[in-house]
Amino acid sequence: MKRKIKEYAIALGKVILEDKRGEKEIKKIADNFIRLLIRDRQLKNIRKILDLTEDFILRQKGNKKVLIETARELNPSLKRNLLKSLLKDGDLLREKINCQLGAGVRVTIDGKKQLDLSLDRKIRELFVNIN
Amino acid sequence: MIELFEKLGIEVGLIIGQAFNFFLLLIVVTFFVYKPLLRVIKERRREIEIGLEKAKEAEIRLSEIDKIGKEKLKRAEEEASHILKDSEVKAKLIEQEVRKRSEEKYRELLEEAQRQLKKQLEENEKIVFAESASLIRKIIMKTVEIEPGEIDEALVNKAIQVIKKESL
Repeated sequence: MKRKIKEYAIALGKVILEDKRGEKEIKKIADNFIRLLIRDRQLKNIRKILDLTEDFILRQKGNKKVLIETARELNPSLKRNLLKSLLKDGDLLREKINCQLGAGVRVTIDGKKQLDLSLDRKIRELFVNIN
Repeated sequence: MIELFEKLGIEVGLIIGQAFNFFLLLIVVTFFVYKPLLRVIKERRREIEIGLEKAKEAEIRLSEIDKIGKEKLKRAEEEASHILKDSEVKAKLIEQEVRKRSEEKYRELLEEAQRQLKKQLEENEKIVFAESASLIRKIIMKTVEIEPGEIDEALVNKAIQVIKKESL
């Protein structure tokens, strides 16, 4: 029977979240999961499955996945303030340098919610208004 | 009487004989020459009269034919004239129709050309606007790159305010 990618992700997430597991046990779970993917010919989708698993675990724990894009490295105090206002314990942070932004910051939460305070956005808005 | 003839030297017998010969000759000539000749003349006259009558009839028929021919010619001329007038009217109608269609086609083409021109102008305007926007964007980006710290700080601080306000 062919399962959906999301079903693999939820199953893996649930197994990982069950009580507190040791490193050895987690490794065994990972081995078994990979064998299952090979058997079901789903190994090519492992990246997507792991992303979905990550989302599932974060959601279950009440945490979020945050992507912060900036045009360049922010100065440390500014970055600290930003992270302090944005993150709480257990949240997953990813940072990305994106020269297209010009300046400012773009924050994406759980891949959906977006806060775009970049220069690029400001300029685009300006031209949209002019047009 | 006989004595008188004798005195005059005329023989009665001879005269009677000559008279007999004369009457005999007259009878012969009457039956064998005069009557057939008269018959031939009568037949000839009748033939001539018939010929004259036929000629007269022919003349009448000829004049009738001539009259019919003239009438037909007149009718043909009238028909030709009528056809010519009809043709002229039809030609005028066709000309008007062709002119009308040409004008409509011309108007359509003109409108299409105006539409195309307008579209082209709009496209050009868009291209110019996009290129200008791109250029201005590059200029702003380059300007910002000279001293990005302050702009970064301003925008990030604004982001922090929004985050706090909206509790993201």
